[in-house]
Amino acid sequence: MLFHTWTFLLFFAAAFPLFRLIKSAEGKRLHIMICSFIFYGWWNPLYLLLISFVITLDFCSVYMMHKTGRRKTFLTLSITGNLTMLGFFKYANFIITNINTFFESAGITYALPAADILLPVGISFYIFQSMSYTIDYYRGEVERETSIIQYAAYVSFFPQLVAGPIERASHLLPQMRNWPAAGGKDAAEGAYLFMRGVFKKIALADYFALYSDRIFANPAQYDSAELLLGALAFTWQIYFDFSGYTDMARGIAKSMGIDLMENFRLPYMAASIGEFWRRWHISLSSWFRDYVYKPLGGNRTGEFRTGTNIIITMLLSGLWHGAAWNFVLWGFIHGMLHLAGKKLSPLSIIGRIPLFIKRISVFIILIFTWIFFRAENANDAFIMIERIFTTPLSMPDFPAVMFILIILCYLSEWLREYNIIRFTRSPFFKIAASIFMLIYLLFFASYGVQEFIYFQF
Amino acid sequence: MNKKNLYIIIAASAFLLFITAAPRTFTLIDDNEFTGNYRIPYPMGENYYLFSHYSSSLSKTEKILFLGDSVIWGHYADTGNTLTAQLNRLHGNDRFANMGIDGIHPAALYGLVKKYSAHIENRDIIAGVNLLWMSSPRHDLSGEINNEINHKKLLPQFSRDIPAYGAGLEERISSFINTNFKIISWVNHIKMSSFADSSFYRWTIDNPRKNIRHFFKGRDMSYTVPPPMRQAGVALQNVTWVEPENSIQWQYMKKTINLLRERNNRVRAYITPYNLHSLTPESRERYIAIREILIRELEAEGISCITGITPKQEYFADASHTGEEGYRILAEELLQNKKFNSLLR
Repeated sequence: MLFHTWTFLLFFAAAFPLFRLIKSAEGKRLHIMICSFIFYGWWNPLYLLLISFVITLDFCSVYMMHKTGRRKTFLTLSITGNLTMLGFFKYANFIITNINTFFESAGITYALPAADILLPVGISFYIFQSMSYTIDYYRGEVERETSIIQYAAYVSFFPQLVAGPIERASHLLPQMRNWPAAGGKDAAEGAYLFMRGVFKKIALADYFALYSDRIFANPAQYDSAELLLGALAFTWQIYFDFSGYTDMARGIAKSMGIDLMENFRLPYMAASIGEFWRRWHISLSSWFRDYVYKPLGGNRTGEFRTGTNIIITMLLSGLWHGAAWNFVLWGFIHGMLHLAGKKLSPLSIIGRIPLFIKRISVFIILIFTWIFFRAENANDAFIMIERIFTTPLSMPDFPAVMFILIILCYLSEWLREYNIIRFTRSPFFKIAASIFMLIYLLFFASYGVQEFIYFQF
Repeated sequence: MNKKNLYIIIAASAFLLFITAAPRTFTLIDDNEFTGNYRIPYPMGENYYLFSHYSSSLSKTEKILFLGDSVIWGHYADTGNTLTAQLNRLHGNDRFANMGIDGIHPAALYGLVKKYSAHIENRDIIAGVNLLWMSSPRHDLSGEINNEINHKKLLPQFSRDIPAYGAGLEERISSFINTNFKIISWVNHIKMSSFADSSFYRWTIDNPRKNIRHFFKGRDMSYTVPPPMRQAGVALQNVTWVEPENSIQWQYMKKTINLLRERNNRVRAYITPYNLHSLTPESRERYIAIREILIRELEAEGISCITGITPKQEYFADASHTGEEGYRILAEELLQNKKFNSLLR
């Protein structure tokens, strides 16, 4: 059930009035848990077994930590259980394929049979969210949750269940415990956020996808300019696809009185790769920072170890996105660029470069890194990059409308970064913008419902 | 009341006013004209808003309305040579209007009449009954799931009446909204009549070097008559007719006729010809028997039934459509038919 479908709107139209009628926080939590299970089970009722397992495992782990005092044992149990499940559903085929490739290159004729496993939607998101609770409890950063219904509502909260933001127990659980009453203002703000998300997804991301999909499907067929524009189109596609989803999720939650965390803060305005990760998919990068990078020692263990920690964290982040080498490579490149940025930033020559030049340079670098993310495989990514630099420049068949939209999007990022368009925060603007977006979608947007890119992770 | 709430109320009211009033008032300024004999242009076949506008205009005339599928619409004829065009020419005035829609199954025709022809009351109507739809469970929509159904949006969305219609919930809800909210039909009308493509984005991708002014010039409304699918030399067909008691087409055809009668229209059924020359003797025999059953059923309900002649093989363009000359022959014959003639008095 995708947010921008009639099915979801109908589901929400039924769930929301009932939610508004319920006065107690307890009732609201129960209602949300039931709705979330219906929402998730809509994809495949069997998925409910998986999420129920995660909920039960982590809820019981924390209960046992509390009851027995054997905190490390039950934390290990929780992490092992979660990662085994994630590994099985997400990485089994990747591991088998690589073992078979190794066998083949070693001249071994035996091949492991491929596992016929369907990746459950959103599994990486809710497992990470649930794990953050057990780890935070272990660290003493969050109180134990005594109600399994409350905990189930937290893990399965449908607005952010399948593609984040990956919430933290310390942020979401207290809100749910004393569920704030949602007023008309919340509903209006939620509706605006939702509409903005739908617009980003349908009017922008899906449009850019029409071009980028064609280019990435067969990069060897295209020349320099088309390949570059394909990568540029994808750069905006993924941003609007994912931030559109986040806006919709935040809008739905807001209409129910819940504030979800911000997941994007003008990422293409970053002046370094490190800064990019503080602006892009913030809930995931902060998760890796808090639960991987810092436990590895962070930047407190000397220069070499800091570098290694960054690379390990970024490799894992790449692998989190997908079980394929191009994602690992993408993570590795980001790690190396992050490291290079760290090394170079103290140099006085770097300090003298104007900020806007740094921002534009980082944006150009990001366009190239996205190639590894989007390409069907690592080989395609290299072909694409090679052809960008070796084929002649010719006039591409690129729609002028798309080009203008991309310019406008980039311009809007700059204006927002420098707070020049503060009027966009006024209620009048939001209402006018909502009406404009609705009319624009009705008349000009593409037909057909496209899935979100991040659903595959 | 604070300023923000006031803005919200004003904006919501303005928007509601817009979505309610725009589709209703737009017909006053719409410059979409119908082609001769009121035939809906081919690219507008799924423009149900236009059809509604069209039926509203016709409801104010004394014309005899021909309702039906592609045989009535004239798939193998240009606008000036359809059945109604030939009737108008032979009769010497413009008494007949073509309300046919290309490729529409009677189940979809029922949806069209129910939702988009409510204006038509107290009129003389000829309802085209085409037995082609009963020539197989696939055509009849009583067979296995068929993904190539035309005018799916007009089918009943939330009943299990049509086994061949296997749309998912999302498509059914979308179709329901499309056909029940006038604003959506109106938006589709604007897109179909004023834009070069239903998707602006798709158009820019397909025409990256064209100026977008071309997009707003609308689409080409001309219709190229397809070449006839000559039957000569082809082996005779053994058709597995769907029996009337099991037929979806027949069930919905009757529902359509009854709905029109409930609106005080004077309805006559016109069984459009079938290319009997292409059938094996057994199939032909069964066709005639089924046709008799349909006539009996209609007449038992007090519906006058006109059975057209079967023109010679060379006048047929395929199994159920005649070409332009075939329509002339049918028109001549109709004008001599007593039941039909009684309408003209």
